[in-house]
Amino acid sequence: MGAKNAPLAAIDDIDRTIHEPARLILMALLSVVDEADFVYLVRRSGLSAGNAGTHLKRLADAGYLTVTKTFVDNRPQTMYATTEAGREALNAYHGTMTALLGSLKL
Amino acid sequence: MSPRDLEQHAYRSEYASGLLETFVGVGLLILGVGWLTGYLPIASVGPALLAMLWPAVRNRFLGPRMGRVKFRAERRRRERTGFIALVLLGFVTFGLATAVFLLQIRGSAPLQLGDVIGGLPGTLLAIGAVLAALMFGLPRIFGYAALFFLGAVCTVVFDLDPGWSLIGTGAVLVAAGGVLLAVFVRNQPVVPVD
Repeated sequence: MGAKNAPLAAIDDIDRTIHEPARLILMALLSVVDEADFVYLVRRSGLSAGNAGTHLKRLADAGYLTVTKTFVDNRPQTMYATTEAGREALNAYHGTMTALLGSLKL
Repeated sequence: MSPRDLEQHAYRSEYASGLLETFVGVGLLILGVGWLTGYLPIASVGPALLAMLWPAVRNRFLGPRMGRVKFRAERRRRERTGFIALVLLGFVTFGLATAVFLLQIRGSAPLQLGDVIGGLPGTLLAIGAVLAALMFGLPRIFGYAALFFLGAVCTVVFDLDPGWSLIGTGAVLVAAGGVLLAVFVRNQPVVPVD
């Protein structure tokens, strides 16, 4: 999609990987901690386990998250943490949305 | 919501299950019983043992329901400082109680001090609770601080043995923790993981 109107050209810069609400929530949760496991992210985001798993995989595939699988007390544990690229992408998304919404002031 | 607010909210949620109240309440019950029975030095080991058990119980019982999170270094540093402050307060409490006890048995304690000394444990617990409330950012702990202070006042006013104040406040905390834990377990079932 291309925005013909110059003031709204920033729409083209929206990172659609992060823009999806569920993924934005997950990135926001991970941006304020060093790392968190799958259960924590499901709990804090309010997403279903399946939905959270799908979105976390999408973020990991985009290089925004690291995934570490271990066992704790014989239970599988998957830890997630943002990568440098993920933090930069989130900051860039914040800047894009701030500029875009600023130009849309009604 | 700023990142700071989000992090603060996440940190507070870590201690919202009621397990903290339950542990502290059981510790106070142990101390109270020890005080009343004259076995306080032995009973003092109870809270230390509970503190050692906390990580294992938290991970085994709360982990599958709440998950695990590693907060940023700044938060971990503040938490460590807070715990050190609470431990130091404990040592100060012990030192003060010992000093006053020695003064009393020597007959050197000022009369006014003797009137209010029974309220010292509850007052120091109240101070510790205020510190904990500031550290954890949990407003309800201020309520517990008020409860501890109320216990101290009742001890002085009704000339009670301080052990009863410890047992009373401990019982209230265990009850509060039990209610919070029941709500927590009902609202946060174990999350299935692959």
